[in-house]
Amino acid sequence: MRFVINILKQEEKGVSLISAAIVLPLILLIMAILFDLGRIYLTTIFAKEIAISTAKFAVSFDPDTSIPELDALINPVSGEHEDITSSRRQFWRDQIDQAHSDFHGLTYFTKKELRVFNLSYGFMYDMNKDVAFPIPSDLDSKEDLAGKVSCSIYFNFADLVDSTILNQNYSRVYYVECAMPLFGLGMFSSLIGSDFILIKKSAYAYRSGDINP
Amino acid sequence: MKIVKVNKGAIFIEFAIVVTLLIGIVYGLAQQMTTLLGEFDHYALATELIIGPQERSLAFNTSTSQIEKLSAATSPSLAEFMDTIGNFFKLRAPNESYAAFIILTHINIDPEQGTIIDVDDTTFNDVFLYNFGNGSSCLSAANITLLTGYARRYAGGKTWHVVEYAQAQGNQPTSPNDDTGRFGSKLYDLDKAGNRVRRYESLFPVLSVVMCSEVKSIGLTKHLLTYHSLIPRRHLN
Repeated sequence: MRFVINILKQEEKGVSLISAAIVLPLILLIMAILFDLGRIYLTTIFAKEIAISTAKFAVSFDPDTSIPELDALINPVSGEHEDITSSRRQFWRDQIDQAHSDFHGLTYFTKKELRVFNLSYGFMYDMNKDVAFPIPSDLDSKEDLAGKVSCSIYFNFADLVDSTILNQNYSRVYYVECAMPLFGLGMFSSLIGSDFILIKKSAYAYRSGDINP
Repeated sequence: MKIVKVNKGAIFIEFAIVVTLLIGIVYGLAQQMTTLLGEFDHYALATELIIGPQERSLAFNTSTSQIEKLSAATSPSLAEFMDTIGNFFKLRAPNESYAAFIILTHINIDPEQGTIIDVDDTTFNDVFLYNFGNGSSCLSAANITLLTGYARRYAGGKTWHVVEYAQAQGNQPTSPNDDTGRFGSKLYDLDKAGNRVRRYESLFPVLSVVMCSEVKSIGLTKHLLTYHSLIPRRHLN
C-alpha cells in the first residue's frame, strides 16, 4: 500500500513539475508582452498629448520664449555613444536639407517655429525626463536607442505652394514620432520585422504663422 | 493507477482554467485600452476642431443693425459654417469609420446687461452629419436616427443647463460695475458722460458635436460615442 502511495506522489510531483515548466515561461512571456503593450499604450497617449499641445503653441500669436539653436534641441541618453548623439544632431540637418526625404519644406526655420520647438520639446522634457530626443537619423536597430524611448517633434506645411510668398499665414501639421525599443515583443522581431516600434501622432496647426525667417 | 489518471486530469484542468483566465484578463484589458485610446482620439480631434478653421458663427444685418443667427440667407450661410468644420473633421479623422453629428445652438443674451435670457431652440432640428459614406456601423439607418436624437438631446440639455445654472445663481448685476451674471461676448465697454455703458452680442453660439467611431479589437467591433460642447472661436468680423 505504502509502495503504491509513493508511486502516486512521485507521479503527481512529476506532473506538477511539467505543469510548472509549461506555465511559468508562458506567464513570463505574457508578462513581458504586457509590459510592451502597456508601454505602447502610454507612449501613444504621450505622443498625442505632445502633438496637441504643440499645435496649441503654434497657433498662439506670439509664443513667449527664447529662440533656441537647433543643436540645443537635443537630449541624448546618458552615456550614449557620440555617434548616436551626432545622429540626433543629423535629424535637424535632414529637416532643412532639400535633398533628404525628411525635408520639411524650407531650408530654414522661422523664429516662431523655433520658439514653438523650444516650448514643445521643453514640455516633453517636463513630462518625462527619460525621453531622449530627437530620434537618431536613419535609425535601424534598438541598439541606437540605448534602451530608452526617443521622440521627435517636427512639422510639414499643409498648404505651402510658393515659398517666395513669405507673409502668408500658413498651416502646419505637427508630428510627434516616438521610437520605442521592444522587450517582450522583441522576441518576435523576426515576425514583426524590427526590434523597436515607431509610434506617430499628429495635430493640425491652422494658420500658425508666416515664413519670414 | 486510475487515481493517478484522475489527478493528472485535475492538474491539466487547473492549468487550462489558469491559462484561459489569464488570456481572458489580457483580452479584457486590451479591449479596455483600445476603447480608452479611441476615446482619447475623439477628445484630441475635438481640440483640433476648436483651433482649426472656422467661419463666422454669427451674422450682422447691416440694414437692421441686429446680430442674427446664421441661415441660408446670411453670409456665411449655416451650411458653409458647418461644412468648414465638417470637412476639417473629415480631414483629421483617424479612420473612415468616424462620423460627426453637429448642431449650432444659441443662448439669448440681454445686449445691455450681457446676462443670459434663455435658449434659442429654433436650430435644434438642423443636425449636420459628416462622414465618409462607407459601411461604418455608425451610419446604419437605425443609428443615424438614434444619434441624431442624441445630438438634439445633448445640445438642448447642455445649453439649458447653462441657462438654468445662471438663473439659479441670480444672474442680475446690481450696478454698472458689477460683473455678476454677465456672460455674453462684449462688443464695447465705455464711459459715456460719467456712466459706464456696455454692449453685448445678443446671441452666444454653442456647437454641440456627437462623435461616433468604430473601435475594433480581436473578434469584437463596437461603437464609441463621445459628446462635445465647443464654443466657436469666431463670432463676427
